[in-house]
Amino acid sequence: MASRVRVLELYKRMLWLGQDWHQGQAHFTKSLSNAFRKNKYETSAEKIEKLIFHAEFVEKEVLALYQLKKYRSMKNRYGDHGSYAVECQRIMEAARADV
Amino acid sequence: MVRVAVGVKRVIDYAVKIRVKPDGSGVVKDSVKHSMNPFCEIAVEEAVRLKEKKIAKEIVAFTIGPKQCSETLRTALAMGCDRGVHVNVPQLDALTPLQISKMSAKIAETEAADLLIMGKLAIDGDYGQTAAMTAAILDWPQATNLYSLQHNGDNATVEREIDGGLETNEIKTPAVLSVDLRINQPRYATLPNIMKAKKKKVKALKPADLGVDVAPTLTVVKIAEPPTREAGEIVEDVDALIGKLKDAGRI
Repeated sequence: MASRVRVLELYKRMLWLGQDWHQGQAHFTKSLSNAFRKNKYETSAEKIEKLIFHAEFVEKEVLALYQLKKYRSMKNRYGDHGSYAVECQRIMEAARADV
Repeated sequence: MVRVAVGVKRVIDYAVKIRVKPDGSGVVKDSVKHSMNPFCEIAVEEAVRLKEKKIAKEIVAFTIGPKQCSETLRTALAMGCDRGVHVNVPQLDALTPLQISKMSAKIAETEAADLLIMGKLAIDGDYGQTAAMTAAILDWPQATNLYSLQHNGDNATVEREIDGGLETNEIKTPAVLSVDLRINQPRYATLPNIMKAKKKKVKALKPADLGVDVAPTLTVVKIAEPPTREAGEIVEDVDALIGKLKDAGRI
């Protein structure tokens, strides 16, 4: 069945994502396998499509979470603070411009 | 179309809580999760986007370090690089940015790269020197801390992040570029791409092949955690605050 191959590939792709999960890969794998096992005996093609769609949605959410978390961490550690003197200068200029 | 070389570094994963070894000789690295330096990911992403825009014809990813760096290289290949170069150095900690720069310069020459892209710094060393030094060794123009890159095949227009905002430069190639955080959002190396990357060619080299001496030139005397932050003190009013500041010799 085509859906079996799709589901297995989807499962393997999502397993791979677990390596960066903040609560640990074991936790992620447990949740993932439980979620898939719950629907193991589903036969309705329509329901299977919906479940695959939902899993792919979760996959995208996890990827977005990883990207955002990394971006925010790097931003906090390395950048965007600007030098204090420049920030003060900008505030003063903005205040003078208002007057 | 240009050929791009991208340098990537394997570092302790950014999310890991760093622990200093009890003897102060270094940081705990055994059994600690490692991954590609986030700024190197951004560099690889920028190179891959050049290829997608058909400005670059080939991307060569290179890494310097122990055999585990082959995983980092595979991530770069999975993100879209065409082939890899792995310079095997068992003790990466013992190397300085100058030695890395010499090796990077040699690789850029042998691979006939038109652009050498790197991250602006690595999150373990925090040096931020390698890109600039490599440009000096190659005698190539450099543009560091890039916010944006536009390349038309012959020269590039770049915006750099500086204190006051952004600075726009035009730069002739071949050149060395180092990327900053906001130039792009790197893609995740998903499993199908990791599998495909196993088929891509990786050249194995030794520092001697590049004519670089990796004998240590720096000794780390001590590594210690920053002092723990002490609890603050709440004062009743402004006069008490001024009194305390005077006592501490601050005003």
